[in-house]
Amino acid sequence: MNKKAKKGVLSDHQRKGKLLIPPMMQLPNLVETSFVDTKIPELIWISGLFNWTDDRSAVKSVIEFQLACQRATNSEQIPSLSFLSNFDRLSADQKNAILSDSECVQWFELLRKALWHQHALLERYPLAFIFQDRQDFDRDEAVIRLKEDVQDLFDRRSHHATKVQTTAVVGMMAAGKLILNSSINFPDPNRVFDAPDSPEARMVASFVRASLNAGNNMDTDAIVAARWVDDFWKQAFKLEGCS
Amino acid sequence: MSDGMQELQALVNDYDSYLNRSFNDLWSKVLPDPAALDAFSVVGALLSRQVTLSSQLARSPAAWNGHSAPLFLRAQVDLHITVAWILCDLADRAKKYVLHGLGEEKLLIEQYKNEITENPDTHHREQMEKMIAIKSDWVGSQRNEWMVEVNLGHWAQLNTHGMAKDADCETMYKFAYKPFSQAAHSMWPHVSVYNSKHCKNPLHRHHLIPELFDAPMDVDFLYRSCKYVHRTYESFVDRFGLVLDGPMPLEWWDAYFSSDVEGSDSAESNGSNEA
Repeated sequence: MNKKAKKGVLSDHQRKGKLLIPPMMQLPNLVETSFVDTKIPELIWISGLFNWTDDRSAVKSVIEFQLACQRATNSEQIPSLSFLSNFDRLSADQKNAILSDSECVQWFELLRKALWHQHALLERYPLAFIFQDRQDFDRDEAVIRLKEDVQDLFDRRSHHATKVQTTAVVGMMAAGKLILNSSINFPDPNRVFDAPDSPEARMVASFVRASLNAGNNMDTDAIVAARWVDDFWKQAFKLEGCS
Repeated sequence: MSDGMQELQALVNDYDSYLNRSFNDLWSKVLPDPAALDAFSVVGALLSRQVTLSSQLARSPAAWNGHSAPLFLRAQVDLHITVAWILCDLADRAKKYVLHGLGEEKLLIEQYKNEITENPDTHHREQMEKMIAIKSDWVGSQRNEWMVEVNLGHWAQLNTHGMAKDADCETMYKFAYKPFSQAAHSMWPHVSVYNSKHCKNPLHRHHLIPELFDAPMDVDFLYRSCKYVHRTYESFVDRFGLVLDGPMPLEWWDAYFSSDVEGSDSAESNGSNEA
């Protein structure tokens, strides 16, 4: 008799009644998430910055602005501002402190210039507090710009999406929201920008994707995030019909 | 008529003629066992049905596409599994098949009667009473209705997969019955491809939206149909040790497309193409 038993298809799956469960889904506490559904609305402001300014300005504004906000609010307890919804979790006092802090204010012009369309189109935009009253705008152009910001994130392995995710994660690290164990060898994230096809860039890209997968904004309060995420997609859907 | 249309018309005519001749040839060679005539009636009817389905598909080139052809092909594969399984134990399995059919009709008769009792003024009353009469006659012509059992399960007391395994056609079950079932039952793998398209608007997350597509015509669907007739013919040939006068379906098909066919039936009239 042939000792090598023939393996059936999907033999690595666990059978529960009529259901075949894949190996990964057998792990306890596994939660299914969607980058498109949950992360695009959070990273849309960084995507906009990369699309409508140069890379250097985008990186600096994301990181320096959130560090300045942290200093202005004089609180290390504020959540990571790499995620757009977390601006909604700032108190009125904290927002006022940001609005009157010169280090923060110096970024406003760049942010407004790059992100005017997001503010113009989206109600309850978490960064609305840094804009003045909504002014007349070209709606068609604003929609085109927003579509580009969204479309460029759909493939999270694209160069644009990798730049956005890397900047978000480096921003979290700079603000002390993500602390790496010293044993982790994190390559130079600049390689994503100056040598995107290099092995180091690929390692960075892999690390940042895993970091963003790991938790829901790395904070304990996902309610505000969920509200913005739902709100964003509902509003986005109504901006234009199907095509 | 364009050359392409003429070629298509010739194929349809020639294939249809071939099916008629080969069916008559095959069935004329089957010698029914006088002690099991009912069983031969069953497999004979199934054979006729297989040929009819293929013939009907052939006569409808507009249906040779991913929307419609799978409906025929699913029925043909299902039929082949049924007939192949019955032929493995002809008398006993054919009897089960008949009794199940009688039971199903008996149940339907009772449901019509119940509907009339509950809604005596229904506009469909006359129609339903006619149906009851016709179906009762049909059942009664074969078995006293009071003797007819109703089997709410599968007639073979086995699912199609089990029947296919038993009848040594599991590959056909996996690679034809299952995929064509997706179309027949309008399951997601079919409707998401044949009845939907991706919205191009990124603000809508590229969701799927319904679309009416014209699926391209593909003669391969008719080839599949021919193949299932071939498989059913093979089952008869093997079971009863038959030798056909003409070619088997796939041999006919290969000959038709490998020769320079100028006129109808030229493939079969060429002696070198005879099986």
